[in-house]
Amino acid sequence: MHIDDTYLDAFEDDIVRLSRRLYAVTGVPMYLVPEDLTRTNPVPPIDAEGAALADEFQAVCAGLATRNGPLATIDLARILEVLADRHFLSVPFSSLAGK
Amino acid sequence: MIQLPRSPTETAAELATALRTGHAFRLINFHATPRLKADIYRREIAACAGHYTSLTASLLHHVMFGGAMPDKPMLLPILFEGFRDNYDVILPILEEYGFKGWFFIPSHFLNVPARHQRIFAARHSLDYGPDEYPGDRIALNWTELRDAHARGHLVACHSRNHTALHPDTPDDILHDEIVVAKQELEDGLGAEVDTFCYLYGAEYGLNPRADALLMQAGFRYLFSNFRLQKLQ
Repeated sequence: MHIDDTYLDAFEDDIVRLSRRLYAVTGVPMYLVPEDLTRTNPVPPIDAEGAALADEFQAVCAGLATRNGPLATIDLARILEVLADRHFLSVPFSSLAGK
Repeated sequence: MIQLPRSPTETAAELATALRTGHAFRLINFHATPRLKADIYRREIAACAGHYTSLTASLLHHVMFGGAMPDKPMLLPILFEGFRDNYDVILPILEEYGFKGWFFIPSHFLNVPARHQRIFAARHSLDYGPDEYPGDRIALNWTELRDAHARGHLVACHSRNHTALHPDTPDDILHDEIVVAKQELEDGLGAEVDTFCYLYGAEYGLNPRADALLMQAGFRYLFSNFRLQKLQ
C-alpha cells in the first residue's frame, strides 16, 4: 500500500486527537490478534480484508518510522488505535462521542 | 508503561502477519463508565450491533481451538478495573444490544472496604472520572459480579492489586498477583476463571517465571496489548 505525506499528516493528527481522550471514561476500539502458543491449530489462510488492514498497518509503521525515527512500543498502540477508530464502523468510532 | 519481549519492529512484523489472516478480535476498552457518558456509550454500542458477533466464552474456546470463525467479526466490550458503574450503567446497554461484557477484575479491589476504595484506587492506578457514589463504594461487589456472570457476561483476572509485570518482578509478588488473585476471584465469583491480563498488558515471553506461574495456576488465556494468547 502506498501512502503519502498527506495521508501521514492526517494519521498523525488522528494520533494526537485520540491520544488526548480521557481513557478512564472513554470506550477505545482496538484490535487484538489471536496467538496459539500451543501450536496445535493450523495457521489460518490470508483473508482479503485482513490483508488490506495488515498492508495499511505496515505502510503506516514504515512511513512514521521514516518520518520520526524508530518506532517505540507506544507507537504501535497508537497506530492500531487509529486504524480501529477508522475501520470498526462506516464512520470514525470516535465521532459517535461528539454528536 | 508497555513492555514487550521483542523489539517494536519485530512485534510490528508479527502483528502484520497475524492481522493478515483476518482473525483479529475487535475490542472496545472501557474503564469507568459514568452515567453522564451513558448516551455516548449507547450510541457506540448501538452502532456496533448488527456489524459484530458478541464473543462468548464458548465461542472463544471454539475459535482458539481451531474452530471456524463466525460470519461477522467478533467484538469484546472489555470492562477494566471492576468499577461499580460498569454494572449500573453500561451492562444494561450491552444487554440491550445483545453483547456480552468482559469484566477484568483486580480481585482485591472488591474486598477493600468501601471507606478505603478511593485511596486504594489512587494508589493502584485505578482511574475513574466523576465520583458518582459519594460516601459509598466505587467498586463492584461480589453479588453484582456473580449476577453479571450468571447473566452470561465474562470474568477475567486483572491481577490482584492492578499490577504491571516487569522482567524482574519478584517471585512473591508474582505469586500474590497471579495465584492468590485467581483464588480470590474464584472464591468471590463462585466459578472458575481461566483468563488473565496484567496492568499495561504485558504478553507472554516478558517474564518466564510469570509465564510458568500462569500455566501452573491454570490460566488458559492471556490478554495483552496486542494479542490474545492461548497458553494451554
